[in-house]
Amino acid sequence: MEELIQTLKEQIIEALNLEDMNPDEIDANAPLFGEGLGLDSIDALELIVLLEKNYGIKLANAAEGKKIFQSVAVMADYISKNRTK
Amino acid sequence: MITVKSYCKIDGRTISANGETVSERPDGQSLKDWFTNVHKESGLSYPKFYKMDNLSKAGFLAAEQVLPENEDVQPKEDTAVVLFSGAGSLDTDLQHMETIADNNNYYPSPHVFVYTLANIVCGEIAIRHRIFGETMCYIAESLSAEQLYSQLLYLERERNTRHAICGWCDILKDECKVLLLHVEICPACSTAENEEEMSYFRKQLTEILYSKQ
Repeated sequence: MEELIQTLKEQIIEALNLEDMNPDEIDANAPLFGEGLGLDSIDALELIVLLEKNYGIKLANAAEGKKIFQSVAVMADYISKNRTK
Repeated sequence: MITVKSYCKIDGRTISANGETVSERPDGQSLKDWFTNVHKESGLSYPKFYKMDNLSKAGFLAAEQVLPENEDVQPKEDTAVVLFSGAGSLDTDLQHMETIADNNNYYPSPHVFVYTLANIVCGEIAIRHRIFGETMCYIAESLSAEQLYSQLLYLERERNTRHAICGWCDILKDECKVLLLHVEICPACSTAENEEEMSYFRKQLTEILYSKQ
C-alpha cells in the first residue's frame, strides 16, 4: 500500500501540475479538497481521468468521487480494491 | 487622451519591462520551463499559475510587470483588459487534439480543455489583479493602434473605463510575442474625431514596438 500511495502522490502532482510540491509534502491522510491541497472542481475531473487512465477505474457518479477523493490514502485503498490494470 | 503608463514585452528570448531586461531565456529551455522559473524567481506564490497554459502564463507574467506593486489587492471597477492575439488558443487546442486523437487512448485532460478559449488569459489577469471592468480578447493578424484606440475609447464612453491592461498576447509552440501595456484614459480629452490624440497614441505604441526592450 505504501508503494501505491507514493506512486499516487507522484501521479497527482503531475496530473494537477502541482509544480511547487513534492510527494513528501503531501500528507496521505489530509483532505484533498478544501484545506489540504486546496484542489478545485477541475482538479476533481482530472483525478477522475487519472483513475481511468492509470487504473482502469470508471467512476459512475459524482457522489462516489466525493468519498474516494477524501485523501490520498482513501484513494489508494479504493484503487487497490477496484483496479483493472 | 490615452497615455501608456508602463509596458512589458516578451519575445520568446527576453522579458523586458519599461526598457529594462527582466529575464533572458536560457538556450534549449522550453517556454513552459522558462515561465515557471520566472514565476518562481519572482517570489510570488500563486499556485494557479502552474495550471495555466502558456498563453495565460505569458499574459500573467507580463501583467505582473505593468501593474504597480501592491495594488493587486484593490478591486478595480474602472479597469479593463483588452487583448489581441493572432493564434488565440491554438497552441492549447493542438495539445487538446493530441489527447483525443487516438480512440484507444482517449483521455482528454480537463486542465488542458479549460484553456481552449483565447479569452481565458484575460480572465486570469483580471482574477489576479481584481479587475472588475470589461475583459475582451480579439483575434487579429497584428496589433493595430487604431483598433486598440477605438476599443479603449468605446470603453471609456460606455463603461467609464479609466485604465486598461491591453495589447498583444500571442503564443504558438515555441513562438511567443507579447506586448502588454498599462494605459490611463483621460475622459475629458477623448473624442472619436480627434486625430491628434490618435496620432499621439500611435506614436507611443510605435516607439515601444520598435524599442529594443
